[in-house]
Amino acid sequence: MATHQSYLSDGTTLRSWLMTLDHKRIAILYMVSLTFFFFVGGAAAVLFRLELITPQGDLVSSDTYNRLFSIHGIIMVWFFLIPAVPNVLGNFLVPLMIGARDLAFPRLNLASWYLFMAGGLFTLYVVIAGGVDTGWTFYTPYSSTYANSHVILAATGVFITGFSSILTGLNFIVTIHTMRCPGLKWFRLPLFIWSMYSTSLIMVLATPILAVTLALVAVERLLGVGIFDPGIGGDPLLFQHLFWFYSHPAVYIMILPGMGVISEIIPCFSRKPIFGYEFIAMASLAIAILGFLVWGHHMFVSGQSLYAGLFFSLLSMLVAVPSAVKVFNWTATLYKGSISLTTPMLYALGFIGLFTMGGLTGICLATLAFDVHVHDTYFIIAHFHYIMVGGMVMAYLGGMHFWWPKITGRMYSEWLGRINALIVFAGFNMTFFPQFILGYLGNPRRYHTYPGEFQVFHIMSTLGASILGIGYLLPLFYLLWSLKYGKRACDNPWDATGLEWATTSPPPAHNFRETPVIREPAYQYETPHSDSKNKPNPKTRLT
Amino acid sequence: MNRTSSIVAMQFDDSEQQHSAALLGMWIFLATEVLFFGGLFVAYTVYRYEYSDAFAEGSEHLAIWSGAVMTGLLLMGSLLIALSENVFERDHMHRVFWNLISTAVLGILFLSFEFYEYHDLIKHQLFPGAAFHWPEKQSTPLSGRSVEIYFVLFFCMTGLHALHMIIGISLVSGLAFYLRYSKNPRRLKNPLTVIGLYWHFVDIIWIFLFPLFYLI
Repeated sequence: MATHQSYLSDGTTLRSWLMTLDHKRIAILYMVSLTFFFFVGGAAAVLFRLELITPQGDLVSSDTYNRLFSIHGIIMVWFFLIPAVPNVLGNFLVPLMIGARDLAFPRLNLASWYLFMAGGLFTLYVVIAGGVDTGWTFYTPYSSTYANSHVILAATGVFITGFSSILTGLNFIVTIHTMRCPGLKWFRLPLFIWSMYSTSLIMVLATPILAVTLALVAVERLLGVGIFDPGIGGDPLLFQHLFWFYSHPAVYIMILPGMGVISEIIPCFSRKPIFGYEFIAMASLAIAILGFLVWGHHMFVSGQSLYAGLFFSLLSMLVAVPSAVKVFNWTATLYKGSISLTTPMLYALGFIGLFTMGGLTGICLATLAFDVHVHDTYFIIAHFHYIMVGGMVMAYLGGMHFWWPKITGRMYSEWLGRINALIVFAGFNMTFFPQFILGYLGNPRRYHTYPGEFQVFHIMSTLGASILGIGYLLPLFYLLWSLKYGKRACDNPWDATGLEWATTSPPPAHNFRETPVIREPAYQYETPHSDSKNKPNPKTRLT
Repeated sequence: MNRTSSIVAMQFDDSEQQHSAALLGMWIFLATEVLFFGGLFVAYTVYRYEYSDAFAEGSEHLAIWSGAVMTGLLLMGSLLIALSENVFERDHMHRVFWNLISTAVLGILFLSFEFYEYHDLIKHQLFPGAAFHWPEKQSTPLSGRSVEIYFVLFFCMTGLHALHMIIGISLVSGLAFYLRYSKNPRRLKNPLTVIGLYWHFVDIIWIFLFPLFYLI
């Protein structure tokens, strides 16, 4: 056994965790806080799904309903989806994957967790104080003229958290640029790093716009002047432009990291080098860049000019190209691979299917005429949940199961893991597929009552949500259980390539005992048909 | 590998890597700042287009000479910071100290002019909000609301800039004293470079604000 200490045993006091500068420990801090926020946001969803079982508003009033979906949206978007993979897995893996001892600015990294928690506490206070009813978008005039809830507090929470995201992005970009170990050229980087890099670009360039927009809403409310209020000279469309200039790229903050996770899992469990490495890497950058040019497709019916609508429609369809490049390359990697259906692989395969559904309905929505028909209906909800939940949450769970042995040094129950992946997949589809039909038939979103003929779809959806709920609670238990009773993991339980597997599980505080040197491209898995019987061993990549 | 030297942090291989990381970090931070101000510049563009007469009318109430002097003060400060990097290389720590102190003093002068301007506007009831008062003239049928938006943007944008100035002045003067009393001032090369970058950036923002608000 290794005689050196792992990062987990490097100090056990509360102080040693709260004041740590170790990127791996900060990742754990994020993991714990994000799990908490995820279940808070989930609880809100449970309540409004229960309300929607019957067509009448019998469980909650319309005001409460508005508050519930706003809390669900705000917490899930800013306190779970955006930070999920970058701040948990990214924090843990970026230095390990590039052979560095830590991120470039460890203090900044810790500071960004504190900012995140400060923002989180503001938002939690809002939940306790009675909520906010604007929806997660804070659209004016709901958030200004007609606001009757704690808009400023919630916006402050999001504003502060935004800086946490900027600082994380900045840290990743600098680390990836300046701290790669010898021999690790750009096109030898794992694709997870490429997607983290693209994500960081968006975080750094889009988030400040959100900050300034929310600040302007606050100024408008505090001074009572018309920045966005047309009644007193302002322009409400300006708010939507500014908001979506951030929030559409932010959608890609919520999916690109997931794509990075999938690009690691698929080759490992197909035992094949990834197909079209350069294309996947460049597709990440292309998505990040195109993502800045499509915000207007949220505003097709908001009164922007028809020509702007046509242009945004075209650009939105263009985003589908790099996304499809990725999907085709993953499938091509599977082709003739020696596939093993382990827990992470089940999540990855689920991701490909659900992400494709979400992406294809996205093209439907980018079509002007169709969007006018289903705008603000359940079709939209179903579409973005296929991307955000079917895509990102699946990828996050897959990634957690893939790197759990590395993070904790323990194996979970593979059997339970596989069952759970199936539960999540089934529950997810049952929840959100009926919503496509609901939306197509014209059920608008954000109402707590609906015509009786839609009830059967709503009941299916709520039933699916309960299955999904089980699928989210179960990992909480068996992963925690594995911490104490799980089998000890070896350094490389999946026989994966990648530098993170070349160090011990869990890694020592400074990651590597000696600086690794890279001599070959990433994903050098032996194909099943090759003559060599040697197992891939990341250590052969080292001197 | 040069890890024995105490000036290199644990995660870096050598001081060169640390220097390039610090520099790149600051550049990226400035990129976020550009976008941060960018949102306000977009708002400015939209309303300037919508209410161009009101903007022209509003800018009549600002003192051009004061804005010009302020611009001069900032440019001198930037020059001094640039020079201090030069003398730092030649190890004249005493001159670096005085350059930085003078920069901070110029910054404080800048803020004094700016706050005097604010004071003047508030006195004339031109601060947006409940106290805002715009005499409606028959000859120019301007709505007071549109002039108010000009002043909202003026106070938001110059106020945000002033906030950056206050941070900059604290950084520059803090660095000056740190450098003066440090036993090994050479190790402050990275802070000097990145604080210099920050100062130049704040300067450039003003270079845009001055014509947009004063010279229309």
